[in-house]
Amino acid sequence: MLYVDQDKPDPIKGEMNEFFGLKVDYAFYIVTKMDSGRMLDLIDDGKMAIKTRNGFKTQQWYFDQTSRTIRSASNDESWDIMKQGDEPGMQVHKTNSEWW
Amino acid sequence: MSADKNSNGAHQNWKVVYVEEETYVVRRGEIGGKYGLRAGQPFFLMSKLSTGRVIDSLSGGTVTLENWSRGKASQQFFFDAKTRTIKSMQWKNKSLQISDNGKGHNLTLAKTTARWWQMWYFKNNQVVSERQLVWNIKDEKDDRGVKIDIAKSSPGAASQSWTIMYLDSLPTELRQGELNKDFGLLIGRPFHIKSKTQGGRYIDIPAYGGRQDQGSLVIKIPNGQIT
Repeated sequence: MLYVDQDKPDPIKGEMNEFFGLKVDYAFYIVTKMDSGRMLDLIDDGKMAIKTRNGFKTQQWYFDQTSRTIRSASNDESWDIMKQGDEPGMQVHKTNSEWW
Repeated sequence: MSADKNSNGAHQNWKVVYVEEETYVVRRGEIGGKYGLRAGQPFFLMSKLSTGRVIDSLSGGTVTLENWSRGKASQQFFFDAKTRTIKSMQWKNKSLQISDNGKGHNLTLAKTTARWWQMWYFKNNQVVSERQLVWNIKDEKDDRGVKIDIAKSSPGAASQSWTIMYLDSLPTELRQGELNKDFGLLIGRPFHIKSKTQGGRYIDIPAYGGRQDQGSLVIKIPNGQIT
């Protein structure tokens, strides 16, 4: 049993969430380590692709402490494995904080 | 993008780069790293062919060579550090690109998408694309209205060589009565052209039947006329 008032407070904006390894509400890019160094981008219909850096918000992401998901700085939706985790494809989808 | 089993290949490795901690941030006026252009500073792109014409853009996206005109915004461009593209000062939502989204052979101006066909590097006087193709004036045709090709690089070729003229580095514009040293004449000041032959006559526009002939000039005794 963990009393709420004795629980370690959640990290706030800019602080590291050690479990997820990401700073809270702090925008970041995801850069492939392949030679191209392209960035993860949100394209049409929630699809994701690597693209040349373009300075648009569709290439920025942030870790949301409340939902524990990675959200797009462009539309605030979250990374998601397609078909509720049944298909291998990745997409950006309405936040539901399920394991997928 | 898919969620696959871990194989630890480069295609599955990523790095997180926090936007505020990014080291590659170019401020206005600074050279944008490998792009070789100063961020946010308007410039002209002048050909190194003999007449020194510049790149000009039309609203439809056509890009041609034109006579330089200092105040003309469609001849001015700037390097946008955010999108890493060369944008027009006249149409700031448009960037210079390879036509047909990289499949064509001309330089055009189109809405900024920051895809590879809009990325340019200025090095060794050439404007080079991400795929090592360069701007080229076809057949070295140094005329107004000539389109710019996208071609393989021939280092040193005048048709592929350009000068970046930043607006803030241009000499101040001459005013009325000041000497234009390139042309050897005073600005906006009327003059006669006097022959050095014994008669010392002036060049004159002849009048025939009350109508001034636009075609040929003659020398005449000074007559106080504006011709």
